[in-house]
Order: sequence, then structure tokens, then C-alpha cells
Amino acid sequence: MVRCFGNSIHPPMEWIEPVLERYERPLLQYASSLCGNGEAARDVVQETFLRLARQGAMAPERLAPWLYTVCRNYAVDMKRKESKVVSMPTPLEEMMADEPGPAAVAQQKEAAARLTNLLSQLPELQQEVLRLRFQGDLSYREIAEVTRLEVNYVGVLIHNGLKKLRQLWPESSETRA
Amino acid sequence: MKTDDPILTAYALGEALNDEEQRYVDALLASSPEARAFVEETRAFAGVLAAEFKAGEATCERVVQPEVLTRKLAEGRVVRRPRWRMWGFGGVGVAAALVLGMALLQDTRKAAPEMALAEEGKAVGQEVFRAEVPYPGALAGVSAAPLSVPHAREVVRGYLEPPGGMRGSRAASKLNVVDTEIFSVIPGGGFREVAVHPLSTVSLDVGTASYVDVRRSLREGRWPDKGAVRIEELINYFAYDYPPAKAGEPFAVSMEVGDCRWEPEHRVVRIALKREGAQNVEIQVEWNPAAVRAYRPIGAEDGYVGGGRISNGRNDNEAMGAGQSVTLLYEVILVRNAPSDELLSLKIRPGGDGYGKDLKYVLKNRDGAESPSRDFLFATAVAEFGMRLRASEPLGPKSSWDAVLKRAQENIGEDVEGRRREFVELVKRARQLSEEDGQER
Repeated sequence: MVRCFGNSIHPPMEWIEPVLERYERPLLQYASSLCGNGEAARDVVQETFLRLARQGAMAPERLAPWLYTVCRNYAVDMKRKESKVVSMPTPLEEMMADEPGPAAVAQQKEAAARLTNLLSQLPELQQEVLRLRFQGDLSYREIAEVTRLEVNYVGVLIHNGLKKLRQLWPESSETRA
Repeated sequence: MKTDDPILTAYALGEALNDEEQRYVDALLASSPEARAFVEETRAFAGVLAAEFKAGEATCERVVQPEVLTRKLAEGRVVRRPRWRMWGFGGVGVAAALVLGMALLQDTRKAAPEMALAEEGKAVGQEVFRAEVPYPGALAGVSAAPLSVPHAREVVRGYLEPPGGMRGSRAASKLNVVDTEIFSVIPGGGFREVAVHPLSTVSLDVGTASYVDVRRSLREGRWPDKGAVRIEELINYFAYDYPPAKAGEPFAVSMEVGDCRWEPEHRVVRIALKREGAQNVEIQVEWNPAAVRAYRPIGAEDGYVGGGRISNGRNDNEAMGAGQSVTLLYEVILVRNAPSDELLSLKIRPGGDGYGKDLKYVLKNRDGAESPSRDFLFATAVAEFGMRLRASEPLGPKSSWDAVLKRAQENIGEDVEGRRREFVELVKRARQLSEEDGQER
């Protein structure tokens, strides 16, 4: 049976490249916001794409809600496990590429930290739906599907979340400058 | 304040509104400059926010490598069978593959007449798979030739035995239940003839997420989506007491064979592996055709591949870290009056430079002379629980919720984490659910 080793039966999954390109980073951030732990988020996203790979390509309009749902399920599970096993949390910043880059990269990092900080002042559920709407670009209905909330409630959360965030925003703009 | 209305925000963000909502918003915008300003501001802010999220993303380091996915997938699943909605159901959706599958068998079992007729099956979920099996080689799993459908990797796998019989009526009663689409294409398992497929790989990449899905559903009083039930993940949610590795060996192996409680004609093989070091290994099961006629991985549809390929010579079983263990169950059909009692040999091929020799472990059949371990019995209870929830594998005549419950209760053991007790409660929930509203699984 040793001679069987090394045969590649699968063709490379070309179709998954653009999906990764489009969704991997947003999912990493989403997972990280749910897990509160960069290491766990990486595992969650890896698992999510592995499941996608198993599942095979699907209709483009179903892809985003599917990915976010699966990612969320894994993250929730992961979080539950983490709560039993004491672990060292990896903050979001540690997930970020740390090689020294141009000034633009530094600015982006700063922006990410700023946004994370602002969002952290909102209730978790509000943070999550805002992220799904503005980062994931999901519709209210899709967000409802992912989070298992009522569509109307999603609307209320986004409305109130935006309002709160707008109140917080100018203040942070000043500290930025 | 007129602008403090979620419907305006929804409108500003481009959500589709119904007619009534649209009329309301139109009227508001026509009459209120404040509302118009709110919409403009909301749109502008939404743009800023989306841009901020984007900027944050750009700093995130990507981790998923397509080639790793390809490799894991290749290890885990070369031959996959779409879950057909078929058996015992008046000829609808029976795969031609069954006919072909059975033609391969030496002792062709009774085939329901309708099996030869159907040409198309509706897989669970929305996609329709045309059951055009390319050639028998695909069934042998040696090469996965693409079907003439978009799901190119899907290859129909034949059953050794026509599934159904005693389970037909129950499956049929649920055929009009629409599965939720999210997890719906995961197939069940079929028996594989050892003469054709003597080798199977062992996947160490087993998670436990499915257990959480299942638990949540049952606690909420509804059946879990069948596709979300991954039996190997249920089994591996629990801790088992396995002996440590022999000195100097990277793996502890524990194997056991015992009665199959849901199908007295069959037996169950348990293979448990515990990684002691972080060393890379490749693992393979070689079934002995002189003792085992056919085998079926319970769950872990991904847990073996036809053709016996293990990996590309590189190991990416990161899922199983040092000190972790994985438990796999197989339902097996033995050869009658077998000339050999060696059921299988498990081969571990240490990677890297550390070991020069392969390790080999042999499991012998003692025809029930040994009493099954507590862990064995408990794991088979979890397996049967999962099989009933999936309602896709051919379950034996002895299967029942009561049997699952009894076996689980009797084998709780020490249960330090309380997981087995929790499981017993879940089984009760499932049993209760099956008693309510005639919802049987």
C-alpha cells in the first residue's frame, strides 16, 4: 500500500481561491470578535473553509450567509470549549501581520484598533450585526439567518447601533488627529 | 422624532422594503427635510464605516492555504455519496448506482424492483444529482471520475445491501421534510467490500462541533438538521480512558471488536489512537478479506478513502494535537467460518526522520469471548444516537431510543466532566421528541 502514497486524486480547487480572497479576512475578524481570541479565530476560519471545500462550490448568493453561519457555529463552539479550558487569549492585534510595512499599513492597523475600540462600547449583539452588515455586506434577512434573530430585531439593532456609533465617532476623530 | 425609525435606516442602507413600508418612507421623505437629511447622513456614515472595516481587514494576516484544503480534502474524502432520498420510497430517487453497486457484488442481494427504474435522485437540499455513474471503477473508489453535474467530486457509492427494509417506512414518513440548506449535502455511509477496498485511511482530523449543534437543537425541542449530525464528531466529544503508548512509540493504539447492538448480524470495531508526541504520522487500516467481508465507517464519511491513499507524504493532521485521542468506529460484516481471525492491521508510519520502521497493530476477533469495555459500549450508544438522528444509515432491527438510553446510562463510568450524564439527558430529549407529534427519527 505504500506505493499508493503520494497520488493526488483531487484537482486543485481553483474555485476556492477567489472565495478566500473575498471572505477570509472579514471572516477572521468576525471570528475574532466572537471568540475574543485570534488563535481560536484562525482555527475557526480554517475549519469553515475546510467545510466549504467539502461541501463544494455553491450558488454565489448563498455563499456569504453560509460562510458566516458556519463560522459562527464553530466560533460559538470554540468559545464554549475555551471557557472550560483556561487559555491565553491572543488579542486581535496579534493576528495582524507584524512585518514592518509602509506608513499606510501602520495607519490601517491604527484604524482597525480604533474601530475595534469603538465597537467594544456597544453591546455584543449590536457589534455583531453591525459587523455582519458593514463588513460582511449581508442583508438584514441574511443577518437574521446567521444570528437566528428576527429580521425586525436585526433592523432595530442596526438602527440603534449606528446611532450610538455616530455619537461616539466625532470624539474619536478628534483623538485621532 | 421622525428620523428615529429603523425603517428609515433600512431604507438608507438599501434594504428591500415591502409596499407598505415603501409608501410610508416615501411619504416621510416628501414631507420631512429632517428625514431626508437623516437618510443622507446615514448613507455617508455607512460608507465610512464600511471603509473602516475594510481598512481593518487589510491588516489581517491570511491563514488558509488552498493547497492545505485540497490535501485535507483529498485525505478525507475522495469518494462521496450524495445522500439520496430514496429507500423504501416508491421508486423515487433511487440511484442507478445501486444497481451497479450490487452488480459488483458476488452474492447479489434482493433488489427492490424500482431500483432499476429510477434514473435521477434528488439529493437532500436543492441540488438534483443525476445518477450517471461513470464506470464501475468509480464505485471501486480507485479513481474519482467526475459526474456530469457541477459537483464534480461527488461520486455515487453503491451500497452492499439495499438499505431500507425495516427502516423504509420511517424514512419515507420523513421524505417531505425539507432540510435546512446549510449542512444538507453531507452523505451517510455505505458498506464497502473488503475484497474491493482492503485499505482505508484513518483521519485524525475530527472535530466536535456537531455535538454542540445537536445539543442545542434537542434542547430547543427540535430535531437537528440531519446534515449537521456528524457521528464521528459526536463520538469524539467524549473522553475515553485509553492506555498510554508503549515507551518510545509516538502513538497509543487501542482496538476492540464487539457485538453490534443494533444489528446482531454485524460487529463493531473500535479503533482509538492517542498521540503522545507531536510527531507526524501516517495511518492506514488494512482489512483482512479472509475475515471481514465488508466494513462501514460509522460517521466519518471523510475518514477513509478508496484506493488507500494516506497523504501527499506530508502530514497536516494538526487537528489532533499532542496527547489528544481520536476514536473511530466501524460496523463490519464478517466472513462466515473465516479461515483467519485477524480482522485488520493498523499501520502507523512515522514521518520525519525519527523512526525508520512502520508500526503495525493487529486486531483479532475473539467472537465475543471478551466482554466489551465501558468505553466501547458508550461510544456505540453515541454512534447509534447519531445514526438515528441522521436517519440516513441503514439501521438494524434492534435499534431503538430505549436501547441507546439504556446503554448510555449503564456506561457512564467515572464521567469527570459530566458529559456522559448530559448525553443521557439528550437521549431522553430525543426519545421524547420521537414520542411527540409522531415525529419519529
